[in-house]
Amino acid sequence: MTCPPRRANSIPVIQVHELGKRYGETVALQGLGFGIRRGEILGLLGPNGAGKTTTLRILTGFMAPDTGRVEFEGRPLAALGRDLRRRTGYLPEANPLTADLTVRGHLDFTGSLYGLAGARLREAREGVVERCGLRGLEGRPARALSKGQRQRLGLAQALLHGPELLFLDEPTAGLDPLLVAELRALIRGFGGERTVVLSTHVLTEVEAVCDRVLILDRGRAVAEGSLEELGRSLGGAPRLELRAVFADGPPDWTAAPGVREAAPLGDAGDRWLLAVDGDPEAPAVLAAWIQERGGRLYELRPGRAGLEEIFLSVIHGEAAP
Amino acid sequence: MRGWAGILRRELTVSFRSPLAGALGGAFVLLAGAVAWLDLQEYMRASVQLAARLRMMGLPPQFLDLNDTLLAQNLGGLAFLCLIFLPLLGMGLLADERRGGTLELLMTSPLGEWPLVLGKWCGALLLYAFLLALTLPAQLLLAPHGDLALPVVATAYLGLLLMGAAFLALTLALGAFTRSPVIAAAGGFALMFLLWALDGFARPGATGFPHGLLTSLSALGHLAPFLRGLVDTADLIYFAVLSVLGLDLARRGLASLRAGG
Repeated sequence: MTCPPRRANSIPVIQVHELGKRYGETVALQGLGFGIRRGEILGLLGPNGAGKTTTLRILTGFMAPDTGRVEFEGRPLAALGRDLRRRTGYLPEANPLTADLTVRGHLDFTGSLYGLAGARLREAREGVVERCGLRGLEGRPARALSKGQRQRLGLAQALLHGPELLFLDEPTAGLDPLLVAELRALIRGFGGERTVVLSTHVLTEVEAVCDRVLILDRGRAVAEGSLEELGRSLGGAPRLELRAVFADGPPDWTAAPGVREAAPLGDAGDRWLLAVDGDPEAPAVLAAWIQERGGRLYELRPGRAGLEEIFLSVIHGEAAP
Repeated sequence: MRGWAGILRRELTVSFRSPLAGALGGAFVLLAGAVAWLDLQEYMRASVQLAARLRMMGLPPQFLDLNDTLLAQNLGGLAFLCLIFLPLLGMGLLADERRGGTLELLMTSPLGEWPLVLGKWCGALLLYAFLLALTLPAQLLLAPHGDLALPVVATAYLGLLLMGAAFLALTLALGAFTRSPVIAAAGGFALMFLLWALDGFARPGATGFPHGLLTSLSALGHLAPFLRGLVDTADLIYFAVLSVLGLDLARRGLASLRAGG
């Protein structure tokens, strides 16, 4: 499932310049640079060890980079310190919770860290309890929560103080498909209202949730853009996506003029993604070819390379089969 | 300094709900009671032996001084027990937060290093004070058996509290540099035993370097007057300085974590 782009401002709220970070001999980040626009959901995508968590830890102020700098609204991150931390929410990778503390205890404690008390805290707590589906669990200790409930509590903690910036590190890791869908819908709802940076190595998560993707590999940014932009720049040959029905089954698409490759979309056998040569007349030529063979054409539009294809192409320098 | 009260509240809530803290506290109080009971048995045996010896010598019966023998023995035993339990109470304060990842959440919140360190330390100190208070009845039960020196009990408990404050601060500091509570506890034990027994390395009665220095740095040397009913400014300052040193080291440990990762 791919979402339409949201209303993101084109001016970067965070600008990252030439970040470098080492852990002893291991290079975590090298010359990493990118921008995050206000109101967008940016996906940090990369294999394990690509530097996603280190990037988030630097952006949240948990650790300082060895080299390079981060600017928030044009001001150095290091100079903002506590003021910036007041405006950010963070769900770390392991979603650390205190086993003996209840859901309410966690939220009250988080509130106290952000200066929320009394009626403001109650209001904020009720808001996130409702939004994150924690109603009825307020008195339950973290040790008695399921994985999905724990994850929702982690997200509620990150949202409690109404942050402008939300950093989520692998928020759906280890959840069952139903909970993944729930949590993704929740995160998708933040778009426009908050700037979200989401780290993941799950391609479908990026496709389902993010406006823009930054692909990291070995501490470097290897690709950046919306899925459409990446598809155009990295997907290789132009693509056409079509739906056509033939009485005697699908034809050999590679026999059609200008078609290089064909891949079925779905199991019905009527939807296809075709890699074609750059001829601007290709759609018209193909439509005529289908008609000549007695096929019925229901849909024909420019296709897009899948994220998996793009990802493999930039990480390994080869497209998916 | 905003936020330290929240840390303190969480610390106390977790301490009083955690089975580990409960087991640790229970063991402490039980052992303190056992030590007091054994001391009492020893005192009674010695008193009976003294009375028998005096009777054989045709002298009137006399009792051993309750405060010089039983109370002093009890308080000494309790101090040693505290020395063993303090690293266990302090080992997880920061090391557990680091290991469990909750430190990442704390340090990405607007909370500064000082409030975090102070909240943690106060929480552990209050738990220690609570456990110490639970051992008080064992001392007060002696009152019907003689003229118990209540001021000595009071100063001894003040001394134990101050020693606890200092040693908890030092264990907290060790926890800021490791994610392993076991290493923090082992380091705490080593450091505390060293501080405790420093004057053992000095020649008795000697002054100047290094003997005088070793004696003046010994924790036992500064605790002993409290156990005898004396409150000296130098001893108060010693434990206060150790506490501040430990807390500042812990703060620096956290700050270096932020700077270096």
